[in-house]
Amino acid sequence: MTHDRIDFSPLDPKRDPERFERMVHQVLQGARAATGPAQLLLEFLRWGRLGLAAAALIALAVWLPRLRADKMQISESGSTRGDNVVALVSTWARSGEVPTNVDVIQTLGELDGR
Amino acid sequence: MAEESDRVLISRARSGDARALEALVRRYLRPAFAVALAFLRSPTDAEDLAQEALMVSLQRLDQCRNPEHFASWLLQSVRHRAINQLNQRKVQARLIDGPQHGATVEPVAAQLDLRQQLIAALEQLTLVQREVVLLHDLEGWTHREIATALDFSEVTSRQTLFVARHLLRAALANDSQEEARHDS
Repeated sequence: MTHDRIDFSPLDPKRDPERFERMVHQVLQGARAATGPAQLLLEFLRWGRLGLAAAALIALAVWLPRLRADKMQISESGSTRGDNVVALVSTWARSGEVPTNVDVIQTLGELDGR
Repeated sequence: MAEESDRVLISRARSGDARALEALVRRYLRPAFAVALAFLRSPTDAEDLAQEALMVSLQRLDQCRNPEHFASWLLQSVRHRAINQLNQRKVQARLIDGPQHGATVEPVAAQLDLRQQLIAALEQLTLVQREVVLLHDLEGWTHREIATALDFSEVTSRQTLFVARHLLRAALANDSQEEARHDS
């Protein structure tokens, strides 16, 4: 009958079960060798990236309030210094005292923030 | 127990399930061999190529965008590799400039065993006919499965199989007659 199957069993790799099992094993070994460690590395990188992002967020959360506090401190100390200078110059003006060159330089230096 | 679908097996294999990976190898090693044999016409070369193609495809499972069409994706890879191998053979044969090295079929001798007879008979078919008849009669795929994997209609698959079997039977009958003549 034309519709009957052609018997390809002599070409069938399963004809020799031991050999076929070896083929399966070789494919599995090759597939695992490439996927196993690579997959582990990918997982590690994925988690590593997440960890790095979390650490960056924590660092930012800690650093931002400190930065703000430092800025406020600087501006506060800056205005105190300015007030002192104004008071000193007013004292000179009121008393008619002539400051020495050193006093002027020191006072202006303070105003400069040095 | 019902067989798990490719989609399920691939999903499990992607998450590192060794059993799923093995199930895929057992399911697709022979179809890959059938297509490789259709191209290379040498069982040994076809076995090597099928193993290699399946191994690489499993290594690249993440690149299989549609797991339901894993068979088609894998067999496409088998075809590409087989074509490359055939091209390499041609180049080698040209470089050697002698009789065709790596010839796929042994010369027809009086005492051809069944295996060689089948390979010689397959020579009479076109590539697509070889693919269809091997996937259907060797691997036991349905016309639907063949049509999906090879990207043509089921009707084409049926017609191709009909013609392929007819040609194969004719070629095998000729071999038997020649053998009988040689014996007498």
